[in-house]
Amino acid sequence: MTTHRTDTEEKLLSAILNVIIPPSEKMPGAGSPAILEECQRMADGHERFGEAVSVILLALGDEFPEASTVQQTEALRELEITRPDQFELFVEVAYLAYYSDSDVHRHIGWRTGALQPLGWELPPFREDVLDTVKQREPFWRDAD
Amino acid sequence: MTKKQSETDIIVVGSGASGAAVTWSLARAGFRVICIEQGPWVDPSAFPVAHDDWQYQMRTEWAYHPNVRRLPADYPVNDDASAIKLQMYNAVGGSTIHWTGHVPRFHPSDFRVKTLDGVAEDWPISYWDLERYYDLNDEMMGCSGLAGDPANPPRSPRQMPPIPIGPDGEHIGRAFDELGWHWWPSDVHVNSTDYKGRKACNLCGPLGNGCSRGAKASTDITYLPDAIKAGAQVWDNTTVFKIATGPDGRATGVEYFDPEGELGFLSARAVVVGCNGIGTPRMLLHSASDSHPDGLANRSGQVGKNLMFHVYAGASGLFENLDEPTYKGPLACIIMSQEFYETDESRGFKRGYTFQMGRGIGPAPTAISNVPWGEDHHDEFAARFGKNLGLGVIGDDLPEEHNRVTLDTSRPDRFGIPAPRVVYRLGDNSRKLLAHGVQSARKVMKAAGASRIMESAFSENTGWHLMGTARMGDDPATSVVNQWGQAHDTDNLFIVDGSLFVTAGGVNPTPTIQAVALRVADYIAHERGDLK
Repeated sequence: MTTHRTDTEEKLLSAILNVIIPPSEKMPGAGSPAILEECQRMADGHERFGEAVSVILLALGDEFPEASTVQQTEALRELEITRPDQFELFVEVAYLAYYSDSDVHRHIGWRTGALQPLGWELPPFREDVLDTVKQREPFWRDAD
Repeated sequence: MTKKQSETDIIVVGSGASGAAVTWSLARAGFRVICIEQGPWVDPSAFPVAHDDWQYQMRTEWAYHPNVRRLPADYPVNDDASAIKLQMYNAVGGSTIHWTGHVPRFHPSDFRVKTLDGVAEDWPISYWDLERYYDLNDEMMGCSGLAGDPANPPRSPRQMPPIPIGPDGEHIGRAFDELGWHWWPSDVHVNSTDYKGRKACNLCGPLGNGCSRGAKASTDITYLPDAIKAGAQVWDNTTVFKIATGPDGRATGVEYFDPEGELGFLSARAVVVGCNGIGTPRMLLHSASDSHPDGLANRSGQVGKNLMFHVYAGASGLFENLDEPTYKGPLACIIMSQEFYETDESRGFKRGYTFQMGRGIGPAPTAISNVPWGEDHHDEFAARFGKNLGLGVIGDDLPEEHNRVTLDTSRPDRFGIPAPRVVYRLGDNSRKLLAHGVQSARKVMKAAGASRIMESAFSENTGWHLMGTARMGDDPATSVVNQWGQAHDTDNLFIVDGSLFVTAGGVNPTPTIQAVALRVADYIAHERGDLK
């Protein structure tokens, strides 16, 4: 199910996300359009996330986007205390959306896309790394 | 699914670690076996790792907690009063779909804790009774590892060499060496080479949410295909809700809901239950009848009691100069240490724990588990991503009667069957054990040169290992089943999952669950010809 948000709600959600993960010189904020859209998609796709986003939006007034960064942070800190479960879920879906973004992946050096079929490569196991511990006598207890 | 007959020799309820093993063994022995599973067959291409949004899927429809997933096959659980939250999966293959494949064995001392340490109860069987079944299970599942570990009894050569432990695994191994502490590459049911038609692992990382390559063993791709070839049937999407009994108290079959939600009854000469340490007591308690008024096989009053998880804690560290980022390689099948596994009274607690090394698995899980929101987010993420290594403490968990599973009629599943209600409090011995473990893990991180060390005094979302709620024993007054998994009260009812554990050990339980299940199946095959 797709949730249709008003422009005011979208503006509020974007502002909250930009406090959760602010834009920096190199990195986009979580409230940037593509990540906002992904966050909304994820919230629509999972009831718990959807509820959390709705609860947090409802708890913060429409004036939130115009408040100072300090005031915004204080408001979220308060919500973190008063609505801990919903706030934790909100942060989770924000992080999921942010770190699913290919532009963010490029900045942090992560290969975007599915983990399979590429996987990763590591050097094969070398048994000589066990030379020290192999010197040890067996120390398990025989109980019978 | 084929469902043409209404009777069979053996019904196996559950197709996970234990149920699948029993199904395979009994089918090969010539029994007519029907394995009934509430979940579906899973298409490996559906696993998260094969999809771009794998991080999201891991936290939603592939999450570990059934109340988060809320899939049709999931029954709700009430773990509000449990310090440890449940983690399980319901599908053909059960929770082996979701495990990480880490397969250390119990130690001989785990079966004799009362004799050796004066706590809990001894098992009615020994390590040596299970040894050949551990070996058989390794053959079926495929074990990558290395024999010769001084912390464990000698064992047969593993089927495959160890999974690459990586520069990070070697680095932590050297720290253990520096401290003079034991470590060893983990035995894992994950292929390091191609094995029995399944590919070698290509080290993608989060193998706990299903492996689309089939490199990680799960019973839907190991035991069950061979079981079906031997004549067994697997009825998927079919929910058994009651084991029926006759006037004589013996099991007569099972009542179930079929995939269309229609009621059915399948009669059998015997019923084998492998629904895990939560689902099995739920089933037994819900199967109360005139001949079993307090729940099936519950004359002792022990069904549902003595629930054990493993207690988890740990320490992690940040490492700046490793040759590879720490998200390369399997999440947790790397190295382990059993330096503190056996009881040492000077530590102030009984029994012990295993260290299991862990890695990070990607950007979103890294952020969710550790990184604060707000203005410091980017700096903190950069400090941790690809640089974080952890040592988990997996602690033995002594059985306590107040830790238990009962029925909660206020939270029924989609068929109206009560949810399991779980009550679990952390014991005093466990607290002391974890405190020791965290401080020891910190020492390893320090020896490894971590630039920053973070402690986790207790981990809540770790209820993967579900044990003890229908324990085995020689005395019908204090146990539910005998050494053959046979209910004391009902000679044609067998339990084969972690429910029958007497103690928990300090290691992942799945290979022991499977070894016990194979031993039970051997008993039925050789001693219970009347069930054929």
